[in-house]
Amino acid sequence: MNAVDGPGYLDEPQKSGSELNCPVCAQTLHDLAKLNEHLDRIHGFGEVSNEDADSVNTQLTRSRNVVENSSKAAKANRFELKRDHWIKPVMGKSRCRTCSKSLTQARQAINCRRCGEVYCKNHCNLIIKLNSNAEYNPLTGEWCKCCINCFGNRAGYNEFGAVCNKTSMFKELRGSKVEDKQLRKLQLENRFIRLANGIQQINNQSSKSMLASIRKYTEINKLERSVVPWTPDEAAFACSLCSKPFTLALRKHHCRLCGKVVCNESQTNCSNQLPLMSLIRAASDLPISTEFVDNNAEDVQIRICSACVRILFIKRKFTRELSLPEPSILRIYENMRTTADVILSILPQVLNQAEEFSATPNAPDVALLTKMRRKLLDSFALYDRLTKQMLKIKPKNPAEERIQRAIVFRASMLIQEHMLPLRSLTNAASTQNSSHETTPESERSMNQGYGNNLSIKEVKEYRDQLMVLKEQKFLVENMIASASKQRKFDEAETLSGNLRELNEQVEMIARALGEEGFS
Amino acid sequence: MGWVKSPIHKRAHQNKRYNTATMLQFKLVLLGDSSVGKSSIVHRFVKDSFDEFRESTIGAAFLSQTIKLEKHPDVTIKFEIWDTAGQERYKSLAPMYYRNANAALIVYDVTQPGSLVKAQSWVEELKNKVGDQDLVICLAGNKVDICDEDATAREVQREDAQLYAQEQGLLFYETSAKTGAGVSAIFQEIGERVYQKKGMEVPSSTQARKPLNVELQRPSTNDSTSCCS
Repeated sequence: MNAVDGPGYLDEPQKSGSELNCPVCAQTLHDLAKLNEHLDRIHGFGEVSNEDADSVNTQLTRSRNVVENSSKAAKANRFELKRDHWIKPVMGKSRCRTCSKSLTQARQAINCRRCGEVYCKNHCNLIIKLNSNAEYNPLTGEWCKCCINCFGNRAGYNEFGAVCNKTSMFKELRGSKVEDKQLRKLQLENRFIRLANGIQQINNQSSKSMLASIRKYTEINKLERSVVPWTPDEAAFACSLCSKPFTLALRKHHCRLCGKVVCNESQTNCSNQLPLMSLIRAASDLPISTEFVDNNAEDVQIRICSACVRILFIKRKFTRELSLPEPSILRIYENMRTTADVILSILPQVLNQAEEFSATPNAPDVALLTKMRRKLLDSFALYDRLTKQMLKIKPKNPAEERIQRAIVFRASMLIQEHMLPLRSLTNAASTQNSSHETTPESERSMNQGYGNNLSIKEVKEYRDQLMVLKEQKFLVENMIASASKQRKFDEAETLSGNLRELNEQVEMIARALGEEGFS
Repeated sequence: MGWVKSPIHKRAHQNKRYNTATMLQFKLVLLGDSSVGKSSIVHRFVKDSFDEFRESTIGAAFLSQTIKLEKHPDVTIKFEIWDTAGQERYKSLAPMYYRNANAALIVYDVTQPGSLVKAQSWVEELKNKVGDQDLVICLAGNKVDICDEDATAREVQREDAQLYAQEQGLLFYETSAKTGAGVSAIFQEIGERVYQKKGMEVPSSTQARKPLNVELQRPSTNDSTSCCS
């Protein structure tokens, strides 16, 4: 396209003056606007966009021509928009269609150029391209003001095509699949129950008599075949799971639950001999009689393919592992994370406070700063303790060890990163303190701050107690009020005695809490 | 004649006040697991009413009730009852109320074996913190009306609880706040016991002087409540 974009080419239509020939059909037209319209209508250029790249050279030049012509034409003769559909606003009476504001001045009112309705200035501030008939025309139209309705209703705006909801269809399909799966599972479970019960019974009999013990394995074999009909060996040429052809080395085996012929490859794990007792234990929710458990039934193994194992046991294992208490490593990590959150939220506050303090040192700031700093240091100490606890845990497997190492690494990073600014802060505060004479009040609060070494649990307990006491104080105050109202003065006296006790208790706990109390 | 009569009359009157008509004030605290019916028992005793859907107590409620002892008709006892909340949250309030109490009523629910365990822990706590020489402790198994309707609902046998009460030297009653069975008997018995303890310690000094005030004020109290509210 750039190749044909020469200044000489651009000048060409203007040179030809009032007489213009259509480049397609060579029809003579009077001016550029006419030619434009002719091209749009007869030759269908209205839809052609500039991006159509794979056109022939001539076509490109033509389309280029059209666009150039249209813009020039619009500039050449002034665009005349149809106005007879405009609704004439009556000042003071008409209202904006969108906000219903009454329009009192002619300056405020404005007609939507497309639908002609009256709007206020604020609700007619969108623009779309309209042709002279006030119809939407994105190609040759001029930018005109319009209302939100016309803006939104124009063709091609926000179009997503037809919506077809396939959720129900999907649900139906999926439902049938899930149902199939459920049925399959139920079938396998029933077979497993029969097999397990039968084998245990045979085991039990064999322990009683010699004859039965000789016949034990034939009996089990018979039972296995009765539970599920085995696929005949001749019909199977390849493993039904991994599709590997059977050879002399790769033998055929039958899954005792689905009866299919599978291989015994250790790589693909298509089937395995599994001890019956551990299977029963794995599916402890199934109604399998376990009265013969103490017999030496451990030696009985049954072959099950991996597909049946997946259906029967994987989900059980998952749910059981889910119900186990979460490992201590995670618990500690959770604690560490909340502590880290506390640290990260306090630290900027402390730094800000310290800055303010160094700028304008005064007493109340000192108390607040001390309190916050203490809280921060406590949090750091707790974090450090938790990290040490984490280190003490012996990992059960390599994965856990890796997780543990990562957590500890992250923890030490965090401490290094955030303790550093704190150290400078400590220096600043101490120098500030030594240079600035400490008021007795601030000193006292500091001593108190460091004096009571309450653990977090104790603080929590004290706070709970304080809350309960304050509640009770409020209740008793109300009781006194109602008792004196009813002129039961002896009751009021008893109650005030209790109130005094409550106040004493509240004070005592508040003292014990010290800085940790409710501020 | 009038001169002779009036001193005698006066003296008789005085006698009645100071010696025969004794009025004693006792502090009683209710303890026990939550929702065993402590508040219901108190309300049955004080207001003789029962609310099927009572809300759980917050903190500790205060009520008072005056009774005459059956065995000593001239003794009036005013119970100042602190009905504590059974919920674990309010456990820290309890010591304040049992500290100077004359009697403690520990309630359990005969349909809830756990509540008896809780009651036993309260007995332990009282004996450790207060000592039972100053305190009359009474154990009450509440909600027997449920067992009367449906015998299978009973989880704590009367004999078991009674045996425990005997071992610990507690008063024991089974009650029903709903029907009112055993409630007044319990307070009569507690009053009797406390009177025996107190009566020996303080015959008439501080306790006897109080009624003077009370009796003088009482008529006006009643009048004002009856006409104004």
